[in-house]
Amino acid sequence: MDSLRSSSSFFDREKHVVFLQMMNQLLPSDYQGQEINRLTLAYFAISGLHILGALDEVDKEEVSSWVLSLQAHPRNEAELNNGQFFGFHGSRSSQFPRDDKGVLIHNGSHLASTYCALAILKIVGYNFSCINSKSILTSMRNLQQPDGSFMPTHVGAETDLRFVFCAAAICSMLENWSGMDKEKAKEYILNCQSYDGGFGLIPGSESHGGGTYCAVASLQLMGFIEHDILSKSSSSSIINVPLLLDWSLQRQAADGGFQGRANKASDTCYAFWVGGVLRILGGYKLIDKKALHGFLLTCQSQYGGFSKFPGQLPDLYHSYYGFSAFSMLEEPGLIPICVELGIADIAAIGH
Amino acid sequence: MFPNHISSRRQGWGELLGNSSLLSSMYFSCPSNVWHFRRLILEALNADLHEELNFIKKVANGNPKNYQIWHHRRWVAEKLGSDATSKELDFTKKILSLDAKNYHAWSHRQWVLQELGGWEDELDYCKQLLEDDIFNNSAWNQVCFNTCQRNTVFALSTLLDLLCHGFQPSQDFINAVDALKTPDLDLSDSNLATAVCSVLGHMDPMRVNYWAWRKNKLPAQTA
Repeated sequence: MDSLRSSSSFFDREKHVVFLQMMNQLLPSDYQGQEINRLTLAYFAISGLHILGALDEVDKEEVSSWVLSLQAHPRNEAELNNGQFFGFHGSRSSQFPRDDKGVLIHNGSHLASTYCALAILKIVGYNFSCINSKSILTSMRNLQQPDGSFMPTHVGAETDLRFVFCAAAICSMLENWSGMDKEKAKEYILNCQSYDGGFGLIPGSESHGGGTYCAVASLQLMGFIEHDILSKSSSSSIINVPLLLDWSLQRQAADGGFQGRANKASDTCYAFWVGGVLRILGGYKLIDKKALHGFLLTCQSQYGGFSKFPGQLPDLYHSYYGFSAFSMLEEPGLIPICVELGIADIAAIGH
Repeated sequence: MFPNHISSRRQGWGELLGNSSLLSSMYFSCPSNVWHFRRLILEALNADLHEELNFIKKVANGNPKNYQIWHHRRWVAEKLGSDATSKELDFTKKILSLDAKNYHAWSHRQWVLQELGGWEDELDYCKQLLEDDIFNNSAWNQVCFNTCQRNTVFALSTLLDLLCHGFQPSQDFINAVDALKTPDLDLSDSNLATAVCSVLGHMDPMRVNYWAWRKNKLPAQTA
């Protein structure tokens, strides 16, 4: 246990940069069993380096080309309207070539991959007017369900708030809301608010940090709630803000970390998911920052990166959200993030 | 697109279905695609879906938090309909016995109850989980889910029993019961148990005297 514990009492930026560079080069087979695919891992690494102020390590042209090569393109108008989603694939292995007759037998475009792709392109400053956004937006509507939720792919998969968020973030980054029915999405989100003020991932399910982030960030991106609503005089909102505020603040546990659900262990990533909700509402100043800082340091690995729980081995996912959390804590040397998009502020605004 | 290939290679696909080790690496490198492919094969072969439930059980054992697997399970259960009800409730119970807060298991269980039924023993099950761990928020959420979905006298009286046995729910729970109050009810009820009694008196008028008597008999320290 001792050998895994970080001996550092400060945020070790240098080590984290090295950790990300290493991740960027290799992809350990440990990740194969998870659903996280190559594009998602690249997003964590590249956005992570950006937040750490180390983006110059990245070959932006190479990254842009690679990301764009993963985009699925319809051959013609007919194909665009055949019900498929034309976005980005998660990796080369899910990208099947067209057959001898030029038919696209399988299109593995995925909403989450599309979100990651666009986020990376924003980060490296790619010119968005060069992106074929029409096919993405037109075909994305096929993924929205009658209840307002989104499927991640057109072949059929689970629907929940994660993909509503992806859709909203995609529209926001492409600056075009024709890709989704915002009103329907809003209705679905509202149905996910639980009796205790948090949001579950699907209606009826237990309030969850990740679900709550997806709900609040989506509503903010779509313009249904104001930023920093707590400091505004208007008392009405489409969601129960006081209850949500209470739920969110209750998630900071005795050890200073944030938990994802009531009575569960504190986990690094919820410092971003739940902390992010508070930041959007304008309530981040109400948390115990010192206690959070202390908890997060117990999850900092001597190898660089962050683990889920104190004293464990780091992984890329928890590392990325650890960096994001430290950015929100205004750690010197880190750049500010745009919480609702999950990328650095400056990337969100545009170079 | 696929059906043509499948009809000409039925035997081969059947082998493919059974060979879980061959497919496992494929399942994880491009998950959505392969599970979708598997579903096409199952349909084309008119495969025994009860067998498929067994297959999923095996795969889920090592991967209880994999979204693809749970979605596939739901697809199979939906096809089987009410034939699958008890199997699904057993399956989720088994997963929850290993991790009483597995989010996927709870979501699937809620879906089963809503689509296929089987509510009869649900509250007893939640009671048991809460006796094991009073802080199991997932179980509390399920009690609330029951109460809101079924809106039955039974659900509320179960909640009343739990409260009388000293269970201390968090403040949030009161909101759930609040939602069931009608404007004409006495709103000065300051604790959950008396509120529940008031609501019960309203919902179950045959026994209004009984619920009033229960309200008077509430143990002093009841929440």
